[in-house]
Amino acid sequence: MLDLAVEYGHLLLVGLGRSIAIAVLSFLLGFAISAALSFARFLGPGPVRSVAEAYIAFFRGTPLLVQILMLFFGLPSLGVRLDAFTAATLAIGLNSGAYQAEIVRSTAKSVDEEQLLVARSLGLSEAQVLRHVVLPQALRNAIPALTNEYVMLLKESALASVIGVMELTRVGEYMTAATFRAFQAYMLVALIYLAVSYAFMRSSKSLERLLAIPGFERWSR
Amino acid sequence: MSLLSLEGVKAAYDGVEVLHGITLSLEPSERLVIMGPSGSGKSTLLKVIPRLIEPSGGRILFDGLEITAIRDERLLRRVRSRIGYLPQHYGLFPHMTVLGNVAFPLKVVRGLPRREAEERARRYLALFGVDGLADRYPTQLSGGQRQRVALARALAMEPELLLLDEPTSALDPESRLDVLEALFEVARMGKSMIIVTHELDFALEAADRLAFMEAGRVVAVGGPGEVLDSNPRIREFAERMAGAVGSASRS
Repeated sequence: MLDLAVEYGHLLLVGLGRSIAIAVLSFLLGFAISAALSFARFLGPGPVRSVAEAYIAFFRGTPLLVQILMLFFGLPSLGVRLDAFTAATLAIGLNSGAYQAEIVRSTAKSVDEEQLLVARSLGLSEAQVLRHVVLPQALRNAIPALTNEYVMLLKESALASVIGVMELTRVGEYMTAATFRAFQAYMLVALIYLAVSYAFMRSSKSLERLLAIPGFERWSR
Repeated sequence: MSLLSLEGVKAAYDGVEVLHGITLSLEPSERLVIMGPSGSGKSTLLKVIPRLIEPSGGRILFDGLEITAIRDERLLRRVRSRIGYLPQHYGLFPHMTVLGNVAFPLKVVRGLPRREAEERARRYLALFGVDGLADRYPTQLSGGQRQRVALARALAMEPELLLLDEPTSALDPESRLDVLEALFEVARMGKSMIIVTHELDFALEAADRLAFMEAGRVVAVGGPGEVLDSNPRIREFAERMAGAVGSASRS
Protein backbone atom coordinates (compact mmCIF):
# COMPACT_ATOMS: atom_id res chain seq x y z
CA MET A 1 0.00 0.00 0.00
CA LEU A 2 2.93 2.27 0.78
CA ASP A 3 4.21 2.01 -2.76
CA LEU A 4 0.79 3.16 -4.00
CA ALA A 5 0.96 6.13 -1.65
CA VAL A 6 4.40 7.05 -2.97
CA GLU A 7 3.56 6.53 -6.61
CA TYR A 8 0.26 8.39 -6.49
CA GLY A 9 1.17 10.80 -3.71
CA HIS A 10 0.79 13.90 -5.80
CA LEU A 11 -2.58 12.83 -7.19
CA LEU A 12 -3.82 11.84 -3.73
CA LEU A 13 -2.89 15.27 -2.38
CA VAL A 14 -4.69 17.05 -5.18
CA GLY A 15 -7.73 14.81 -4.65
CA LEU A 16 -7.68 15.40 -0.90
CA GLY A 17 -7.41 19.14 -1.50
CA ARG A 18 -10.46 19.03 -3.70
CA SER A 19 -12.45 16.92 -1.21
CA ILE A 20 -11.64 19.38 1.55
CA ALA A 21 -12.53 22.29 -0.72
CA ILE A 22 -15.95 20.74 -1.43
CA ALA A 23 -16.52 20.12 2.27
CA VAL A 24 -15.44 23.60 3.40
CA LEU A 25 -17.29 25.51 0.69
CA SER A 26 -20.48 23.47 1.02
CA PHE A 27 -20.33 23.80 4.81
CA LEU A 28 -20.08 27.59 4.56
CA LEU A 29 -22.84 27.72 1.97
CA GLY A 30 -24.94 25.46 4.19
CA PHE A 31 -24.26 27.66 7.21
CA ALA A 32 -25.43 30.78 5.38
CA ILE A 33 -28.53 28.96 4.16
CA SER A 34 -29.28 27.63 7.64
CA ALA A 35 -29.05 31.17 9.04
CA ALA A 36 -31.56 32.38 6.45
CA LEU A 37 -33.80 29.38 7.10
CA SER A 38 -33.64 29.93 10.87
CA PHE A 39 -34.61 33.58 10.62
CA ALA A 40 -37.42 32.65 8.22
CA ARG A 41 -38.62 29.93 10.56
CA PHE A 42 -38.49 31.89 13.79
CA LEU A 43 -39.52 35.33 12.58
CA GLY A 44 -41.09 35.06 9.16
CA PRO A 45 -44.79 35.43 8.43
CA GLY A 46 -46.71 32.23 7.67
CA PRO A 47 -45.93 31.85 3.96
CA VAL A 48 -42.19 32.49 4.46
CA ARG A 49 -42.15 29.88 7.20
CA SER A 50 -43.88 27.39 4.90
CA VAL A 51 -41.30 27.96 2.16
CA ALA A 52 -38.49 27.34 4.66
CA GLU A 53 -40.15 24.16 5.93
CA ALA A 54 -40.72 22.94 2.37
CA TYR A 55 -37.07 23.57 1.51
CA ILE A 56 -35.93 21.59 4.54
CA ALA A 57 -38.36 18.76 3.86
CA PHE A 58 -37.22 18.48 0.24
CA PHE A 59 -33.49 18.40 0.91
CA ARG A 60 -33.76 16.07 3.89
CA GLY A 61 -36.25 13.81 2.19
CA THR A 62 -34.47 13.12 -1.10
CA PRO A 63 -31.12 11.42 -1.77
CA LEU A 64 -28.13 13.73 -1.97
CA LEU A 65 -26.93 11.80 -5.01
CA VAL A 66 -30.17 12.59 -6.81
CA GLN A 67 -29.76 16.26 -5.90
CA ILE A 68 -26.22 16.27 -7.33
CA LEU A 69 -27.38 14.57 -10.53
CA MET A 70 -30.27 17.03 -10.85
CA LEU A 71 -27.96 20.02 -10.66
CA PHE A 72 -25.29 18.61 -12.94
CA PHE A 73 -27.43 16.91 -15.58
CA GLY A 74 -30.76 18.66 -15.03
CA LEU A 75 -29.85 22.34 -14.98
CA PRO A 76 -28.34 22.43 -18.50
CA SER A 77 -31.82 21.73 -19.87
CA LEU A 78 -32.85 25.00 -18.22
CA GLY A 79 -29.92 26.75 -19.81
CA VAL A 80 -27.65 26.72 -16.76
CA ARG A 81 -24.43 24.78 -17.23
CA LEU A 82 -22.27 24.19 -14.17
CA ASP A 83 -18.90 22.45 -14.10
CA ALA A 84 -18.82 19.25 -12.05
CA PHE A 85 -17.01 20.76 -9.07
CA THR A 86 -19.45 23.68 -8.80
CA ALA A 87 -22.51 21.46 -9.24
CA ALA A 88 -21.36 19.03 -6.56
CA THR A 89 -20.40 21.77 -4.09
CA LEU A 90 -23.66 23.61 -4.66
CA ALA A 91 -25.78 20.48 -4.24
CA ILE A 92 -23.98 19.39 -1.07
CA GLY A 93 -24.20 22.94 0.32
CA LEU A 94 -27.92 23.28 -0.41
CA ASN A 95 -28.46 19.92 1.23
CA SER A 96 -26.34 20.75 4.27
CA GLY A 97 -28.27 24.00 4.78
CA ALA A 98 -31.37 21.96 5.56
CA TYR A 99 -29.53 19.78 8.07
CA GLN A 100 -27.75 22.69 9.71
CA ALA A 101 -31.09 24.49 10.10
CA GLU A 102 -32.39 21.44 11.96
CA ILE A 103 -29.32 21.48 14.22
CA VAL A 104 -29.86 25.15 15.06
CA ARG A 105 -33.53 24.53 15.73
CA SER A 106 -32.87 21.73 18.17
CA THR A 107 -30.27 23.71 20.11
CA ALA A 108 -32.43 26.85 20.06
CA LYS A 109 -35.10 24.88 21.86
CA SER A 110 -32.66 24.26 24.70
CA VAL A 111 -32.69 27.96 25.69
CA ASP A 112 -35.03 28.05 28.65
CA GLU A 113 -38.41 29.73 28.49
CA GLU A 114 -37.82 32.17 31.36
CA GLN A 115 -34.99 33.86 29.48
CA LEU A 116 -37.30 34.47 26.55
CA LEU A 117 -40.03 35.85 28.83
CA VAL A 118 -37.58 38.19 30.52
CA ALA A 119 -36.08 39.31 27.21
CA ARG A 120 -39.53 40.18 25.87
CA SER A 121 -40.51 41.84 29.12
CA LEU A 122 -37.43 44.08 28.85
CA GLY A 123 -38.84 45.33 25.56
CA LEU A 124 -36.72 43.38 23.07
CA SER A 125 -38.19 42.62 19.66
CA GLU A 126 -38.41 39.02 18.50
CA ALA A 127 -35.44 39.62 16.17
CA GLN A 128 -33.39 41.02 19.07
CA VAL A 129 -34.35 38.07 21.27
CA LEU A 130 -33.13 35.74 18.54
CA ARG A 131 -29.93 37.66 17.88
CA HIS A 132 -28.84 38.50 21.42
CA VAL A 133 -30.33 35.71 23.53
CA VAL A 134 -31.16 32.60 21.51
CA LEU A 135 -28.50 32.38 18.80
CA PRO A 136 -25.39 33.05 20.92
CA GLN A 137 -26.39 30.12 23.11
CA ALA A 138 -27.81 27.93 20.37
CA LEU A 139 -24.71 28.25 18.17
CA ARG A 140 -22.37 27.40 21.02
CA ASN A 141 -24.44 24.35 21.84
CA ALA A 142 -24.47 23.48 18.16
CA ILE A 143 -20.68 23.18 17.83
CA PRO A 144 -20.52 19.40 18.43
CA ALA A 145 -23.37 18.76 15.99
CA LEU A 146 -21.92 21.17 13.42
CA THR A 147 -18.54 19.46 13.72
CA ASN A 148 -20.26 16.20 13.02
CA GLU A 149 -22.00 17.79 10.05
CA TYR A 150 -18.67 18.96 8.65
CA VAL A 151 -17.21 15.47 8.92
CA MET A 152 -20.33 14.14 7.20
CA LEU A 153 -19.76 16.61 4.37
CA LEU A 154 -16.16 15.54 3.97
CA LYS A 155 -17.39 11.97 3.49
CA GLU A 156 -20.36 12.95 1.33
CA SER A 157 -18.01 14.85 -0.97
CA ALA A 158 -17.10 11.36 -2.25
CA LEU A 159 -20.39 11.47 -4.18
CA ALA A 160 -18.85 14.15 -6.41
CA SER A 161 -16.78 11.36 -7.96
CA VAL A 162 -19.94 10.15 -9.68
CA ILE A 163 -20.06 13.22 -11.90
CA GLY A 164 -16.32 13.09 -12.53
CA VAL A 165 -14.82 15.51 -9.98
CA MET A 166 -11.22 14.41 -9.40
CA GLU A 167 -11.49 14.29 -5.64
CA LEU A 168 -10.08 11.71 -3.25
CA THR A 169 -12.50 8.86 -4.03
CA ARG A 170 -12.11 9.41 -7.77
CA VAL A 171 -8.33 9.13 -7.29
CA GLY A 172 -9.00 5.78 -5.63
CA GLU A 173 -10.95 4.67 -8.71
CA TYR A 174 -8.12 5.90 -10.92
CA MET A 175 -5.50 3.97 -8.93
CA THR A 176 -7.67 0.86 -9.08
CA ALA A 177 -8.04 1.11 -12.83
CA ALA A 178 -4.29 1.57 -13.27
CA THR A 179 -3.07 -1.13 -10.87
CA PHE A 180 -6.04 -3.51 -10.31
CA ARG A 181 -5.26 -3.37 -6.57
CA ALA A 182 -8.73 -2.23 -5.54
CA PHE A 183 -8.57 -3.16 -1.86
CA GLN A 184 -5.29 -1.38 -1.18
CA ALA A 185 -6.25 1.64 -3.23
CA TYR A 186 -9.55 2.18 -1.44
CA MET A 187 -8.08 1.35 1.95
CA LEU A 188 -5.46 4.02 1.37
CA VAL A 189 -8.19 6.51 0.44
CA ALA A 190 -10.26 5.50 3.48
CA LEU A 191 -7.30 6.02 5.83
CA ILE A 192 -6.74 9.50 4.44
CA TYR A 193 -10.40 10.39 5.09
CA LEU A 194 -10.06 9.00 8.60
CA ALA A 195 -6.90 10.98 9.37
CA VAL A 196 -8.44 14.25 8.24
CA SER A 197 -11.77 13.65 10.04
CA TYR A 198 -10.04 12.64 13.23
CA ALA A 199 -7.75 15.67 13.24
CA PHE A 200 -10.76 17.90 12.68
CA MET A 201 -12.83 16.37 15.46
CA ARG A 202 -9.93 16.78 17.86
CA SER A 203 -9.45 20.45 17.00
CA SER A 204 -13.16 21.17 17.36
CA LYS A 205 -12.98 20.04 20.98
CA SER A 206 -10.59 22.91 21.60
CA LEU A 207 -12.97 25.27 19.87
CA GLU A 208 -15.76 24.11 22.15
CA ARG A 209 -13.64 24.75 25.20
CA LEU A 210 -12.60 28.14 23.88
CA LEU A 211 -16.19 29.26 23.33
CA ALA A 212 -17.71 27.57 26.35
CA ILE A 213 -19.81 29.76 28.62
CA PRO A 214 -18.25 29.74 32.09
CA GLY A 215 -20.07 27.18 34.17
CA PHE A 216 -20.90 25.10 31.12
CA GLU A 217 -17.37 23.82 30.48
CA ARG A 218 -18.19 20.38 31.73
CA TRP A 219 -20.37 19.83 28.68
CA SER A 220 -17.50 20.20 26.31
CA ARG A 221 -15.14 17.68 27.84
CA MET B 1 -55.67 57.76 38.35
CA SER B 2 -54.63 54.19 38.91
CA LEU B 3 -51.26 53.14 37.58
CA LEU B 4 -52.66 49.80 36.57
CA SER B 5 -56.15 48.44 36.33
CA LEU B 6 -57.39 45.04 35.31
CA GLU B 7 -61.01 44.66 34.32
CA GLY B 8 -62.36 41.14 34.03
CA VAL B 9 -59.06 39.77 32.72
CA LYS B 10 -59.18 36.18 31.52
CA ALA B 11 -56.42 33.87 30.33
CA ALA B 12 -56.40 30.36 28.96
CA TYR B 13 -53.85 27.70 28.08
CA ASP B 14 -54.88 25.53 25.14
CA GLY B 15 -58.50 26.52 25.57
CA VAL B 16 -58.57 25.80 29.31
CA GLU B 17 -59.35 28.98 31.19
CA VAL B 18 -57.04 29.58 34.15
CA LEU B 19 -57.97 33.17 34.99
CA HIS B 20 -61.71 33.75 35.26
CA GLY B 21 -62.12 37.50 35.10
CA ILE B 22 -59.65 39.24 37.40
CA THR B 23 -60.46 42.79 38.45
CA LEU B 24 -57.76 44.61 40.36
CA SER B 25 -56.14 48.01 40.44
CA LEU B 26 -52.87 49.44 41.64
CA GLU B 27 -52.16 53.04 42.61
CA PRO B 28 -48.78 54.67 41.96
CA SER B 29 -46.21 53.61 44.60
CA GLU B 30 -48.55 50.94 45.86
CA ARG B 31 -47.26 47.50 46.80
CA LEU B 32 -49.63 44.60 46.29
CA VAL B 33 -48.86 41.10 47.53
CA ILE B 34 -50.59 38.17 45.89
CA MET B 35 -50.92 34.91 47.77
CA GLY B 36 -52.71 31.71 46.98
CA PRO B 37 -52.21 27.99 46.53
CA SER B 38 -50.22 26.72 43.58
CA GLY B 39 -52.26 26.51 40.42
CA SER B 40 -54.44 29.45 41.46
CA GLY B 41 -53.20 31.54 38.53
CA LYS B 42 -50.79 33.92 40.30
CA SER B 43 -47.92 33.50 37.83
CA THR B 44 -50.27 33.67 34.88
CA LEU B 45 -51.70 36.92 36.20
CA LEU B 46 -48.23 38.48 36.29
CA LYS B 47 -47.41 37.31 32.77
CA VAL B 48 -50.66 38.55 31.34
CA ILE B 49 -50.09 42.16 32.45
CA PRO B 50 -47.27 42.96 29.96
CA ARG B 51 -48.93 40.51 27.55
CA LEU B 52 -46.15 37.92 27.79
CA ILE B 53 -49.22 35.71 27.64
CA GLU B 54 -52.12 37.06 25.61
CA PRO B 55 -55.22 37.51 27.75
CA SER B 56 -58.30 35.81 26.35
CA GLY B 57 -60.65 38.48 27.64
CA GLY B 58 -60.98 41.66 29.64
CA ARG B 59 -59.06 44.95 29.60
CA ILE B 60 -55.73 45.99 31.06
CA LEU B 61 -54.92 49.67 31.47
CA PHE B 62 -51.45 50.90 32.36
CA ASP B 63 -50.89 54.59 33.00
CA GLY B 64 -54.04 55.42 31.07
CA LEU B 65 -53.04 53.29 28.09
CA GLU B 66 -55.11 50.25 27.20
CA ILE B 67 -52.42 47.56 26.85
CA THR B 68 -54.92 45.01 25.63
CA ALA B 69 -55.87 47.24 22.70
CA ILE B 70 -52.33 47.80 21.41
CA ARG B 71 -51.85 46.36 17.93
CA ASP B 72 -48.54 48.02 17.12
CA GLU B 73 -45.60 45.76 18.09
CA ARG B 74 -43.29 48.69 18.76
CA LEU B 75 -45.70 50.43 21.07
CA LEU B 76 -46.25 47.17 22.96
CA ARG B 77 -42.49 46.77 23.36
CA ARG B 78 -42.20 50.30 24.67
CA VAL B 79 -44.90 49.63 27.26
CA ARG B 80 -43.25 46.34 28.24
CA SER B 81 -39.95 48.11 28.83
CA ARG B 82 -41.73 50.27 31.43
CA ILE B 83 -42.86 47.21 33.37
CA GLY B 84 -40.20 45.12 35.08
CA TYR B 85 -40.81 41.37 35.30
CA LEU B 86 -38.91 38.81 37.35
CA PRO B 87 -39.64 35.13 36.87
CA GLN B 88 -39.08 32.67 39.69
CA HIS B 89 -35.75 31.37 38.39
CA TYR B 90 -34.20 34.74 37.56
CA GLY B 91 -34.05 34.33 33.78
CA LEU B 92 -30.46 35.57 33.61
CA PHE B 93 -28.69 35.19 30.28
CA PRO B 94 -25.94 32.61 30.91
CA HIS B 95 -23.72 33.77 28.06
CA MET B 96 -23.40 37.30 29.42
CA THR B 97 -21.51 38.47 32.47
CA VAL B 98 -23.42 39.93 35.40
CA LEU B 99 -22.58 43.42 34.14
CA GLY B 100 -23.58 42.40 30.62
CA ASN B 101 -26.93 41.10 31.81
CA VAL B 102 -27.80 44.43 33.39
CA ALA B 103 -26.21 46.73 30.80
CA PHE B 104 -27.39 44.90 27.68
CA PRO B 105 -31.07 45.94 27.75
CA LEU B 106 -30.04 49.50 28.59
CA LYS B 107 -27.99 49.58 25.40
CA VAL B 108 -30.32 47.65 23.10
CA VAL B 109 -33.70 48.86 24.36
CA ARG B 110 -32.95 52.23 25.97
CA GLY B 111 -30.26 53.11 23.44
CA LEU B 112 -27.75 54.26 26.06
CA PRO B 113 -24.09 54.47 25.03
CA ARG B 114 -21.96 51.67 26.43
CA ARG B 115 -20.25 53.67 29.15
CA GLU B 116 -23.44 55.18 30.44
CA ALA B 117 -25.21 51.82 30.39
CA GLU B 118 -22.41 50.15 32.33
CA GLU B 119 -22.21 52.96 34.81
CA ARG B 120 -25.91 52.72 35.52
CA ALA B 121 -25.69 48.93 35.68
CA ARG B 122 -22.95 49.11 38.29
CA ARG B 123 -24.98 51.57 40.33
CA TYR B 124 -27.93 49.19 40.49
CA LEU B 125 -25.72 46.18 41.18
CA ALA B 126 -24.19 48.12 44.06
CA LEU B 127 -27.65 48.83 45.42
CA PHE B 128 -28.08 45.10 46.05
CA GLY B 129 -24.48 44.44 47.07
CA VAL B 130 -23.55 42.44 43.98
CA ASP B 131 -21.37 44.97 42.16
CA GLY B 132 -18.32 42.94 43.14
CA LEU B 133 -19.60 40.13 40.92
CA ALA B 134 -19.82 42.26 37.77
CA ASP B 135 -17.37 40.15 35.76
CA ARG B 136 -18.71 36.76 36.83
CA TYR B 137 -21.13 34.66 34.84
CA PRO B 138 -24.56 33.71 36.23
CA THR B 139 -23.65 30.04 36.65
CA GLN B 140 -20.86 31.08 39.00
CA LEU B 141 -23.29 32.74 41.42
CA SER B 142 -25.47 31.45 44.24
CA GLY B 143 -29.24 31.56 43.87
CA GLY B 144 -29.54 34.63 46.07
CA GLN B 145 -26.86 36.46 44.12
CA ARG B 146 -28.59 35.57 40.86
CA GLN B 147 -31.93 36.86 42.10
CA ARG B 148 -30.34 40.13 43.22
CA VAL B 149 -28.66 40.54 39.82
CA ALA B 150 -32.03 39.89 38.19
CA LEU B 151 -33.58 42.54 40.44
CA ALA B 152 -30.83 44.99 39.50
CA ARG B 153 -31.42 44.26 35.82
CA ALA B 154 -35.15 44.90 36.11
CA LEU B 155 -34.71 48.07 38.18
CA ALA B 156 -31.92 49.51 36.03
CA MET B 157 -34.53 49.89 33.30
CA GLU B 158 -36.25 52.23 35.79
CA PRO B 159 -39.68 50.70 35.26
CA GLU B 160 -42.77 52.31 36.67
CA LEU B 161 -44.08 48.96 37.80
CA LEU B 162 -42.33 45.83 38.99
CA LEU B 163 -43.81 42.34 38.79
CA LEU B 164 -42.12 39.73 40.95
CA ASP B 165 -42.95 36.03 40.80
CA GLU B 166 -42.06 34.24 44.03
CA PRO B 167 -38.61 35.82 44.25
CA THR B 168 -37.58 33.87 47.35
CA SER B 169 -39.21 30.51 46.92
CA ALA B 170 -36.45 28.79 44.93
CA LEU B 171 -33.73 29.88 47.34
CA ASP B 172 -31.82 28.29 50.18
CA PRO B 173 -32.50 29.87 53.59
CA GLU B 174 -29.47 32.13 53.64
CA SER B 175 -30.02 33.43 50.11
CA ARG B 176 -33.67 33.91 50.96
CA LEU B 177 -32.83 36.41 53.67
CA ASP B 178 -30.49 38.32 51.34
CA VAL B 179 -33.17 38.60 48.71
CA LEU B 180 -35.83 39.50 51.26
CA GLU B 181 -33.62 42.34 52.42
CA ALA B 182 -33.24 43.46 48.80
CA LEU B 183 -37.02 43.41 48.42
CA PHE B 184 -37.46 45.61 51.48
CA GLU B 185 -34.92 47.95 49.91
CA VAL B 186 -37.01 48.12 46.72
CA ALA B 187 -40.10 48.75 48.85
CA ARG B 188 -38.32 51.67 50.56
CA MET B 189 -37.61 53.13 47.10
CA GLY B 190 -41.36 53.52 46.76
CA LYS B 191 -41.51 51.42 43.60
CA SER B 192 -44.97 50.27 42.54
CA MET B 193 -45.00 46.52 42.60
CA ILE B 194 -47.04 43.40 42.45
CA ILE B 195 -45.31 40.54 44.17
CA VAL B 196 -46.41 36.95 44.33
CA THR B 197 -44.95 35.64 47.56
CA HIS B 198 -45.67 33.71 50.71
CA GLU B 199 -43.34 35.86 52.78
CA LEU B 200 -45.74 36.86 55.56
CA ASP B 201 -43.29 39.37 57.07
CA PHE B 202 -42.98 41.17 53.77
CA ALA B 203 -46.75 41.17 53.27
CA LEU B 204 -47.42 42.57 56.72
CA GLU B 205 -44.60 45.10 56.86
CA ALA B 206 -44.07 46.28 53.30
CA ALA B 207 -47.28 45.69 51.40
CA ASP B 208 -50.17 48.11 51.17
CA ARG B 209 -52.63 45.47 50.09
CA LEU B 210 -52.94 41.73 49.89
CA ALA B 211 -54.91 39.84 47.29
CA PHE B 212 -55.68 36.19 47.82
CA MET B 213 -56.25 34.04 44.75
CA GLU B 214 -57.92 30.70 44.44
CA ALA B 215 -58.73 28.73 41.27
CA GLY B 216 -58.25 31.65 38.92
CA ARG B 217 -60.17 34.22 40.97
CA VAL B 218 -59.29 36.90 43.49
CA VAL B 219 -61.30 35.82 46.52
CA ALA B 220 -60.20 38.51 48.97
CA VAL B 221 -58.38 41.80 48.69
CA GLY B 222 -57.59 44.56 51.17
CA GLY B 223 -55.06 45.66 53.76
CA PRO B 224 -52.81 42.64 54.55
CA GLY B 225 -53.71 42.56 58.24
CA GLU B 226 -57.37 43.04 57.52
CA VAL B 227 -57.54 40.25 54.90
CA LEU B 228 -55.77 37.86 57.24
CA ASP B 229 -57.90 38.84 60.26
CA SER B 230 -61.23 38.59 58.50
CA ASN B 231 -60.53 35.26 56.80
CA PRO B 232 -59.41 32.52 59.20
CA ARG B 233 -58.96 30.15 56.28
CA ILE B 234 -56.59 32.53 54.49
CA ARG B 235 -54.72 33.25 57.71
CA GLU B 236 -54.28 29.55 58.27
CA PHE B 237 -52.96 29.10 54.72
CA ALA B 238 -50.59 32.05 55.02
CA GLU B 239 -49.24 30.84 58.34
CA ARG B 240 -48.78 27.33 57.07
CA MET B 241 -46.79 28.69 54.10
CA ALA B 242 -44.80 30.99 56.38
CA GLY B 243 -44.23 28.03 58.69
CA ALA B 244 -42.89 26.01 55.78
CA VAL B 245 -40.54 28.84 54.89
CA GLY B 246 -39.57 29.28 58.54
CA SER B 247 -38.74 25.64 59.03
CA ALA B 248 -36.65 25.72 55.89
CA SER B 249 -34.63 28.57 57.32
CA ARG B 250 -33.98 26.66 60.52
CA SER B 251 -32.71 23.57 58.76
